[in-house]
Amino acid sequence: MRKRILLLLFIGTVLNSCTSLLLDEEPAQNPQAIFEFTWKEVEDKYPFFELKGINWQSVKQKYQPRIAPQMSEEALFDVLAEMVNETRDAHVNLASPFNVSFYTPVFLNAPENLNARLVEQYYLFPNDYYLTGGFDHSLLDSNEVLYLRYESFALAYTQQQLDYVFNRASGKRGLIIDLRNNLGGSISSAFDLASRLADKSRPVIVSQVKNGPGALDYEVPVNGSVVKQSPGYTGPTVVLVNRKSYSATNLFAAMVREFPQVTLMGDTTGGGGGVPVSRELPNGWVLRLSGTRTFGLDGLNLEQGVPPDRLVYLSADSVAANRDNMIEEALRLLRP
Amino acid sequence: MFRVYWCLLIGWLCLPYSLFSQDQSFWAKHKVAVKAREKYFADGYFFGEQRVLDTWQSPLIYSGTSLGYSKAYISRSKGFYKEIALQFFFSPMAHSRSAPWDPDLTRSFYPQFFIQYLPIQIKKDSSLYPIWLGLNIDMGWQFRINDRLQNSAIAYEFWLPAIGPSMRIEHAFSFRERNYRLFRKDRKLGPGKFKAYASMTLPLVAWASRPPFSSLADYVGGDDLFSTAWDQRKAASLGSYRRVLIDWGVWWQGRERRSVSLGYRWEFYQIDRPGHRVQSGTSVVYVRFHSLFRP
Repeated sequence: MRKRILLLLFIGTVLNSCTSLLLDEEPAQNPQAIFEFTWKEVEDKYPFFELKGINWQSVKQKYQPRIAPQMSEEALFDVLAEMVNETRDAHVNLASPFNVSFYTPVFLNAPENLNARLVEQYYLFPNDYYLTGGFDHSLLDSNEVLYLRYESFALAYTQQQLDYVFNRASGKRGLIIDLRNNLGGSISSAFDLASRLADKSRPVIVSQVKNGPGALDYEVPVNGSVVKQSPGYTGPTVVLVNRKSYSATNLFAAMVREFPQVTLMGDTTGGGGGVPVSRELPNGWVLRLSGTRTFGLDGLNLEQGVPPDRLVYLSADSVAANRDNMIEEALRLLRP
Repeated sequence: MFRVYWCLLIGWLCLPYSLFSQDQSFWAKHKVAVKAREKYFADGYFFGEQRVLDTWQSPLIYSGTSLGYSKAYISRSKGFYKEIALQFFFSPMAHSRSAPWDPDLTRSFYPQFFIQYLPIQIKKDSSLYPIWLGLNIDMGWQFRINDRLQNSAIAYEFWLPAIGPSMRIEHAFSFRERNYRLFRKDRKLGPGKFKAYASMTLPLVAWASRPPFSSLADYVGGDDLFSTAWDQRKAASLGSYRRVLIDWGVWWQGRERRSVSLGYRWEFYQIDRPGHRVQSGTSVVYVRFHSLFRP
């Protein structure tokens, strides 16, 4: 009997060891291996090399000589962050315990087109505007236009709160939705908000998930559709955007430009048409990068941003006069 | 309302079926023909470790504790072994390179429905040393949530169903040489008997699905838009899906209607997808309490 028990214990130990034998090996953790892994992850998964004219092989040749076996974690981070920023994509980020990389020239190389203090003081009216689930809103132009500011699609709201906002817009002459400096957030929120502006249920964008390392490895295109919801607003609407309208906001802009009563006003949006996915590196850092490509119905790649129907920049003269000429232009457009 | 459903489900799973079972006199009294077949309900509790390498998310091996519960129906006779089980596992895991600032904890949930049907008995000359050969069918769903610095990632795969050959060997014995009053010296089935058993299952073909190379499942709110991508995931077939399950232990019949088994189970599976691979090795010890509800 003792032999049998020992035999069973032996078999158990052997099987447990089999797991170790069968599992593939983890990659090395030295700077060179981490560099190689990061470069390869981007090469395999990033969808916009061709669109942006990036030669990723030459990027490797540029940054690999800067990798040294004994370099500090901070130095390694700096090289890797600089390398992934060659994608010129704010959705491509490297995260470590001490720093997160973020490509900012997308926003900084364009006019800001927003003076938040001015908007708060002269269009929302301090202590007077409503704050409903992330939406700041007030009535302008003799209470005939609802001005709605939404600072981030990451700010959650309930359907009841959305109902309240659109009930308040009901019967008004016009609606202004200010999405300047809205860097995005939840795609679902973008769809929810767009569905309240839809004149009818319809497809609005097309998306493709990258599903392999090859340049042409994409799944078949999938339509993203909005379903008309009530209460909604189908009267004249102006959506204000600037270059810092990014990611989910960029997607929202692409959706609402399909609606005939909506005018997109301001600057071209910042892009961010690839929805990000995250991958872990051999040292536990996290690489986040665009994993899809999204198009408007006219074939526009949304990574390039959505151009406005009316190009309007915030003027210094207007700001000096305590007016936001972009909102003023929207109000003029909404007057009969 | 869903809480009520959950409570009912959990209550049902934890219910000892022996409460409703009848002893032999009941069947005799009512002159019901009783088949010569033992039927059990079994509650199993599993404890062990799981190691996962899922290159879709990370090049690192995650390992951690695996806790499980199963509710099984077992029917066994000379020429027949059948087991139908619902199994639930939960495994909190972390990888060896976790930094103190972020343990990168992965929580893995995997319910599994398992049918083992072994109708062919190779060795019939002794009921005490049967070898069964038959079919294993199981389907399961594994779901992992990864906490990340920026995003939480969700990965999941399911196999529906995996089919392959299975073999089970049983050998009855007692401590005859020991003068234990607890155990009988004869070899008839009954209280005080041990049965050693071992089984090996090799699911060969499965419709096993994984998220694609890049998935939006880890993006909060992205599911609505890309739900149709689910249909586009390709099935893994022979060659890209490999799995083996080995299970052995002892089964002690303490009383007429109560028995307990102590066992060890090892399972390894691998799914290869374009650009990534998932491998999972699980070793668990378990205890199963059997309630004979119909002799």
